[in-house]
Amino acid sequence: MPVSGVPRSASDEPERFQPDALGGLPAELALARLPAGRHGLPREFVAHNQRLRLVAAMLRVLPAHGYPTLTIGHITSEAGVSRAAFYQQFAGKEECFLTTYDLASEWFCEQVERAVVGEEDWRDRIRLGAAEALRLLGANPLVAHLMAVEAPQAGRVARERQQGMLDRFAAALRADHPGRPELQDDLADLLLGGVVALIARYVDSDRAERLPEATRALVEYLLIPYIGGEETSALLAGLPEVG
Amino acid sequence: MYRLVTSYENGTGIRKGRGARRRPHLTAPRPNRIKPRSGLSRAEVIADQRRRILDGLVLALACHGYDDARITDVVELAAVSRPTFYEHFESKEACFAAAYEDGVERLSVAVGDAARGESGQVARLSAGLDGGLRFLSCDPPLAHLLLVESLAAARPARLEHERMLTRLALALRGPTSGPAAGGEISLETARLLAGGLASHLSGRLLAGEAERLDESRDLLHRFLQTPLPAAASRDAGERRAAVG
Repeated sequence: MPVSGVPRSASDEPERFQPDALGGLPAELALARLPAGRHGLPREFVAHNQRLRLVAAMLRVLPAHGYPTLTIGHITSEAGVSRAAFYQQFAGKEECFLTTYDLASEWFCEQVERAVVGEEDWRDRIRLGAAEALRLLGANPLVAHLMAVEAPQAGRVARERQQGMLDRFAAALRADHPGRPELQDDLADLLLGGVVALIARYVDSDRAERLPEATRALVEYLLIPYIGGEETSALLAGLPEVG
Repeated sequence: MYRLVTSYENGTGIRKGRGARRRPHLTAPRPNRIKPRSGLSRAEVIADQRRRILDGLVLALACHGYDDARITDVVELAAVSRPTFYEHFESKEACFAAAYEDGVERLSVAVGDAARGESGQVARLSAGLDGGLRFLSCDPPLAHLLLVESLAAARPARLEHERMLTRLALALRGPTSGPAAGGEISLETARLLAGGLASHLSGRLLAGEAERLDESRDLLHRFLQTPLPAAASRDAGERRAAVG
């Protein structure tokens, strides 16, 4: 079951990003609409539940409408939350989008970072990180859509948040690891721009689920700047197919 | 010359709504309309109209963004009548697709011309990149259309953009007849390189640096040459020398 009340414990790795199942809600209530009328639930609990349901709804309605034409009504009717409740949580569409983006990108970064924890060899770190990133996005096409397609067209702040996430990965690409050649600083951003374009292409052609098929090419692309084309193909030739 | 009024205040050049829309502050040269009885054939007149409409669309998008640009803006900038516009294109979308295709075509002619006559993949790549950057920095509205507008606009436009990247990726791989041994990258990897190049340029355009794109020249050279065996081994040699 994807329902998960404690998503960030080490034993329980959420395959799916489900904001309405995050935040320590009791599992039996996490995905449900709350009962109407008097239910005796604490006010903060209700507010938290509504907030996360709105975030989940934002994620689900984005592909159909696209951020520029999305309305608050689309979000609230998907979430089953009143317009008044929406405005108690968010000042507007942008704030709701940014909250959604932050939750999703934090989840994504943590998952990818967890996949490489304890890995000593820098080449394996790149290989495992790339494979995990594409696996997560393939399993969560809505997140792929949010990050690669909507964020660039959702205004300046959203672009800054996206840049923040890319900077986190860029720092990982630059960080020192024993035996790794140095990456020229400015190439990390270029590399990641290509990755976002790759994800966008899969999403735009309705193939987000198949992103893991690009794993080998992505690993090749990320290794080449460090060790060159020939050494990379030699390295990849010795590995089993990933993804 | 013209001046782009796009403030990029919200990061994409998308206007915040009709209220925020402004007329283009253009002191652009009015297109040279062909005078009646100019002696040109009907076909020449039509070709000239089409050219002006495409240029008009590019300018209108640079000023207003895809969502807010109207056909009224295009016909005004192109100095054609509205019925004439509809004789050529059935909608803004169709006109956009044609303008995009035309822009990609002209860009690839510029790249091809620059690369022609160079021998060796590294030299061809360098010359082609220089040619492309020169072309784009001489025509900021077109650069905006090709690299920024297509990302923010509706999905058909995004697909045009991705077709352009595929074309660029094919060019990056070079003639496939060459020896496959060592350094031959997959098409997917070449697409990743093309995507990295394009998103770097988009970022610079969004930062308002359209006329200074060629400052990225050295960085992009290094980036695109990483998969090439010669460049890679040379760089590796330099790195080793630096370490040792």
